[in-house]
Amino acid sequence: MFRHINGHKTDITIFIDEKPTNASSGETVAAVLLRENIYAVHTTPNGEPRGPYCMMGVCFDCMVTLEDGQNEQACQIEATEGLKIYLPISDRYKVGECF
Amino acid sequence: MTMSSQSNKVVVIGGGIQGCATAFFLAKRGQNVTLIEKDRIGRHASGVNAGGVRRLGRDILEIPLSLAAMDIWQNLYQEIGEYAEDFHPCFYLKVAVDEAGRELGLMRAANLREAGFKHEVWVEDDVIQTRLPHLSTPTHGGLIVEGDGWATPWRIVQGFANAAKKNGAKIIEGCYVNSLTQSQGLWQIQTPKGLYEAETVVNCAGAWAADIARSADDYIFPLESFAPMLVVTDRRPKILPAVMGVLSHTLSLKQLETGQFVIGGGVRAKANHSINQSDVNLPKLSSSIRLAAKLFPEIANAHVIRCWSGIEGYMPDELPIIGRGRQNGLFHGFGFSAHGFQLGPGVGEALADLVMGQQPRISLEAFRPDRFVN
Amino acid sequence: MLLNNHYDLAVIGAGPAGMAAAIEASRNNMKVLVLDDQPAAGGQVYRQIDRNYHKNEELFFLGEDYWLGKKLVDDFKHSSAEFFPESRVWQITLDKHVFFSRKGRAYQVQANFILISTGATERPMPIPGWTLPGVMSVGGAQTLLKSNNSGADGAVFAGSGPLFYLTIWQYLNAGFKVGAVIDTAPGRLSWSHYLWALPALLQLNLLLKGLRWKSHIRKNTKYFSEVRSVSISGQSAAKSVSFIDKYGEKKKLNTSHVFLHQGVVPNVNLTMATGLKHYWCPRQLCWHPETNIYGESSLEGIFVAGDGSGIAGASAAILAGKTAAKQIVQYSRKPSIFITWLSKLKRYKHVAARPFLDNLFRPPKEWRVPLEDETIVCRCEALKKTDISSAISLGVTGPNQLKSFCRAGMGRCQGRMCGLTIQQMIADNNNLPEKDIGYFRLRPPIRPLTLGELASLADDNVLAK
Repeated sequence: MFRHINGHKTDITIFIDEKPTNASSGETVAAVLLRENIYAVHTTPNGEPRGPYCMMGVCFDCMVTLEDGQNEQACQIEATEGLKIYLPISDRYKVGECF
Repeated sequence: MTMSSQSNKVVVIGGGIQGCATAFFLAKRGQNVTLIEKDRIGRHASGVNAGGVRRLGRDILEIPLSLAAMDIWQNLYQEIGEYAEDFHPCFYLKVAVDEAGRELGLMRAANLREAGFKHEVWVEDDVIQTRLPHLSTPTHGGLIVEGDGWATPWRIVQGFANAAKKNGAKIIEGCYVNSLTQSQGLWQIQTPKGLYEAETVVNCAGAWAADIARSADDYIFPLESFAPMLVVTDRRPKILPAVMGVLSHTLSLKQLETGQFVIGGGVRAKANHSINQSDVNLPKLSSSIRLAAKLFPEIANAHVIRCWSGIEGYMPDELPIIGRGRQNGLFHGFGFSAHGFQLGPGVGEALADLVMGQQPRISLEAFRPDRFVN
Repeated sequence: MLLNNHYDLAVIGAGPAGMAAAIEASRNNMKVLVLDDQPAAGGQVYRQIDRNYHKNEELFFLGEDYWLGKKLVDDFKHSSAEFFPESRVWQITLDKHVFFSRKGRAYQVQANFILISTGATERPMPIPGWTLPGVMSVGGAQTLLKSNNSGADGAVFAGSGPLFYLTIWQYLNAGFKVGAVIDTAPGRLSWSHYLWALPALLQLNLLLKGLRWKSHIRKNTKYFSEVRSVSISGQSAAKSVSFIDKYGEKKKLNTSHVFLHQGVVPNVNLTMATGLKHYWCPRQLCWHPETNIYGESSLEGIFVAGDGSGIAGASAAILAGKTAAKQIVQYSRKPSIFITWLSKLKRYKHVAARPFLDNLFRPPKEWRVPLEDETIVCRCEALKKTDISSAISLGVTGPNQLKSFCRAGMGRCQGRMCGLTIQQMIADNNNLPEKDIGYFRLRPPIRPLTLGELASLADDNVLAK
């Protein structure tokens, strides 16, 4: 499991698939997902689960969906208070074909 | 010099759709054909275009050729076998978003009706809204064609090339034509891979065709090369069942099976055909894309993952050159000005007819090679 | 701050090279614009150093080299250079227009000079299971540590190289339990290693540091050296790592976190798409943009500095950025031979150890091209080695021709995760040197931008800070 270094605190709330989740302001959404044990965020067209790999915006495997429907790399989104993101892999969003 | 229907030696220069279709039809009719391509089959415009197989929006002078070509598209499996699977029929719609577009469209509909063409139909906004439920703005009507479609361009070109080979044609790639001269009634084609001789040469060399013509001491053609651009996006939920254009504006929009959008329409970047270079200039696409986003706001969220262009030859009147050259035994089929893909099979058939001394089933008067002389 | 339309110098990438150049150029009264895709300056090496500085006791484990960057970032912030973070550059044209996107809009600026300092990216390490969730690059693990102050206990690190050892050392100091370290560097040192070790002594402190890290790691983790055949298993996430140790024994370790590394290579997507000439560097096994001693590329007025022009580390990057800026400032004057040689000497002490390190950590073929057919090579299109091999065997001369037969390289990452692998596969198949194979023809946009952003380009070029 990913965790913060000892003594580090979370101070804001973001929403992952509508579920309120603790985060630290300024960290990336990818880091939050990993700490929440969410390692797979989308699937390839042939159904392979994928998640954050490079953390620097070159692998495109950490795609999540924003409230406005745009797909974005989770490692390039800064967590801010009230931010809502959705995981393409979740059935409820049904965006298996949405990358 | 009359052409008998025996095996004359024909060399086709250019491995795009025009050349491959011509080689196929000639080989199918028992002619001894060799196709020479300087790079690879389908490497240039024919392989990288949007794959539009449309009768919609054609210059009225091109319509008979387009209709003849469509007959072949609709029976493509018989000609090229499994490669035909890459043709997807769908309806085409060219909408008017303003009064100017509407006027243009209505006038066009009237002209076509008068000339006896029934494939394009004018429809009003209510019909358009039912056919395109995700359209977000009202339109001022539009033109619709059923039974057009799109294809994966390089696969179709491969299909014609393979079918030509199956019928005995020889295809030589990576072979540049250095010179083209006539000697005692025979064409001498000098290439780095050796000398080829032929009684007939068909010049389907796309953006390079004017160079070939000059080399053969044929007409001087005012052919210019540009690089029409396309972009493809990431996968999005499917909202577009047709290929769309806009009257009086530059935009072509379609959505692939994968959900990716392909946007084009002919916005041109610079090309230098002599060094196989074609630029892309994304910002030039911004007004076309703005228009697309106005029609389907969801599109604004799609990411451009790739932009490319091909090297295409344009004529000043944007009509192709199809017909006999000035020299004996030389024929031309080029200058399709970014709309030759759908015509290809029809052009190939017509050029094969000309080479064999037969009458093509449609008139090629509008495409006369000598129409630019003085 | 509003965005101007025209600048003397546009710097792409606010890492050590970019910041050093911006400081130097703005000190000489040039109007400088600096763009970076991250929310703060620092690049990879000094990631989030500004924010982290407030907790520098807590984050002591990042090491003193990291904290050295603070002064550079401070000088940069106090310079007159305009800095726009969160800006993704997606196109640079030959007439020096820079196009970038920021928060849903696209912008355009023009500059007299451009410095591309976009740094390095990790070499892909395609082994079985490398696409499983839970598997990340070591650089990714380090970024999590720097930017997000997070890490995982029980992770297995597989690979080798300076960054590999540094990150594990940082992990240990930060108090994370390291599951195991699987070192893929081959054991035997050849005569060329000893030869290059001599000039490397000029950077003795660097070498000693590396030895210290390695010895600390050996003492404090389950350490396996000279391993072969690493593979990761799991159904929908990483569950275990298997490998063959140096004695030939098969080993298997259970873990949900695997961090991979085989060195870094210049990030060439922007330089290639802009049209700069590149050459293949056989020693570093990657492409470098062609530059002169000052960093000017094959395109007049466009410079490259830092790891983006060849891997040489942070101190060399700072010097390169400064050198490029100095040259830009006095561009019309031809520098004397004396100055040129002085620059070469100055640079040398920052790169003397490079050939030694490059040779020592040169990844063997096994880590650059997978042995197993079922291993994914093109991550974006989920293409396995066997898919690509069959396409190559149809007679392909280069990566671009391959695109006609399979979709390798046509996905979102634009070849960043598969380009070097595919190039090597074609070279091996055709029995030709890598430099003759070439690379994917890269075109703008080099970062995906939305159609909405592209459409907005026509709007006023107004960007409020």
